[in-house]
Amino acid sequence: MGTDHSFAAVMARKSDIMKTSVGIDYARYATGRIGFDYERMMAEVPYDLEAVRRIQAETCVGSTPLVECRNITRLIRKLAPAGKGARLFIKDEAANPSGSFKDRRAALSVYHAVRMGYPGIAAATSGNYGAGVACQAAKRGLRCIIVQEVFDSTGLQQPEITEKSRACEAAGAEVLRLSVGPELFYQFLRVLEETGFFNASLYTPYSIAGIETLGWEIGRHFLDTEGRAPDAVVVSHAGGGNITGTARGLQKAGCGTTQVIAASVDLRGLHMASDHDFNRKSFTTAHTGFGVPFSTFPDRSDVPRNAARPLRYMDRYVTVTQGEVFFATEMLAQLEGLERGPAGNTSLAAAFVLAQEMDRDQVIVVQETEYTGAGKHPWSQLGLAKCMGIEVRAGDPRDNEPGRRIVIPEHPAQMRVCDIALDDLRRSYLKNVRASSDPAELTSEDYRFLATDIRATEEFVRTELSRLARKEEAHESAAT
Amino acid sequence: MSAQTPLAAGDWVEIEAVVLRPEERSPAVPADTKATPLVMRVNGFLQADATVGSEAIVLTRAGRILRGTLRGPAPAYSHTFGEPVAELIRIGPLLRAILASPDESPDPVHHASGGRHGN
Repeated sequence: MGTDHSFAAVMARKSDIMKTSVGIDYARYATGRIGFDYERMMAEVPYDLEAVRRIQAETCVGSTPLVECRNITRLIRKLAPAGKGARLFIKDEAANPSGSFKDRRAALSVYHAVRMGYPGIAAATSGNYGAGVACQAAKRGLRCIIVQEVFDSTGLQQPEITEKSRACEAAGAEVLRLSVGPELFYQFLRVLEETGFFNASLYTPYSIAGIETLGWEIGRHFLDTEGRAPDAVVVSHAGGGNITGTARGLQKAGCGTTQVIAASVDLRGLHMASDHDFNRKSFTTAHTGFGVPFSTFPDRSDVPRNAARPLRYMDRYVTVTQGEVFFATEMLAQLEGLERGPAGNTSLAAAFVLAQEMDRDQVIVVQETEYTGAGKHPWSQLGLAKCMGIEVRAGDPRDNEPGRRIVIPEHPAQMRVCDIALDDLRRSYLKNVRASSDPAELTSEDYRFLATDIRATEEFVRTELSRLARKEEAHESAAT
Repeated sequence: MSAQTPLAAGDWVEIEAVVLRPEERSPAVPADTKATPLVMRVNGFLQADATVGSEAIVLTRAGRILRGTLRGPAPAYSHTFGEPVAELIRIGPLLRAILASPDESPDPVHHASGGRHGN
């Protein structure tokens, strides 16, 4: 009798498949009804920061240049009020072997998979991470499968993801290229079940521990060269691993006072699982389509307990428009000679604006770049946008409308950031909690967990959950 | 290559398979996506001569045997850097002109010490 491969049957086997493929029994960390001991889960990663640095150095990952962008800083000071305009630095993560900070996550996952005796490694990712895993797997002699979402129902490929398919194949990976849909995860589970490969999920404790070195390197650099922590670090935010790992690394370096700012491209209005919208996004990552839901419901990830917990670490969350990121990408190339991104330049677009609010003696760090290339390049993305009927023009970026109009700023003074209120995200998080569990059953440990997980007081959690309950009751009585 | 000419065993080819038919898809996907099948494409070494459009078996780079419909020789990667975008090309000269302009907002620290700020 064969195994049942229907969608429902495979999804029902999810937790067993995950337990086998990640090698972590997440149930061990449970506290209360819904809480879990996050810090214990992270502490049980069998590699401390020094060990991670050593493992990454073995495959030439990390220790990337931290570049002071002097021309961009001059431009910032031309636009800023008198006395304002922080020095802007960028961590050139494109210098990693496969061209992005994702090599840090991949390095530890691949090392661990080899050590645990897995016959291969697999990852579900349409981004730079696939190339990172393929690259590290090649270096350590492990078989590799990458599952990607590449083309819409007309067969039209998103060129940035096609570039990732190419990069993964170039490093020897089998690449499963799928049409649009979140059931990519179903296919991924089938791969894990059939192969017994390690799941190099972006959201395991190994993946996050791998990023801690990035924050640590930034922190150490400023402590060693300038005797102080950087004032702000801006992180391109999608699934939450980047901000979580970077913030934890900064703390481990002794830079707990550094403000950690998340930045995403505003893609509100576009549906992430829509076949129609797929090729109308012009960004495949660092956008609100991932950044917001992963902040308000981190455990929506492919592992039962996501080690990326963005609300624990973000001090501020800002959005920028598509056109502003393309502008920042051109600025970085033209003024600093660094042709990078564009998606990784989301944090640069934000930092360019935020630096103008800061004093001249302050420092702001853009914590990553990513390689550019055919498919990824702004010309390629804007070409696709035009082909999809999206208007591309110069103007005021406030007129930018995802899926309809990309407006490239006419002048750098038009660049701005939009704040997403963290309390709104906290409320959405609690709304998701309320939707999936009965608050009457929550224990004091659960309240403690929730407060820590959204960085609020227990009072805030209790008040908001009661408010939601009252709202629902009012809704129900109005309906009857 | 005509559809009738078989590709030879050992050729690097692309196959396609339907992973989920529309009616098998997740109830959670939006209607436009649910109206289409979830399709998978993968490249591999053809295991026996086969014609385009027929059932084929490949050996993938990870050493797996997969089945699907033969689409043809594995496609070239033809993604490009795209056509120049006028709205971007004007940015470099604009920014250099701003940097060259004299109306820099004063740096209180360096002006007080009589020096130009050294960026």
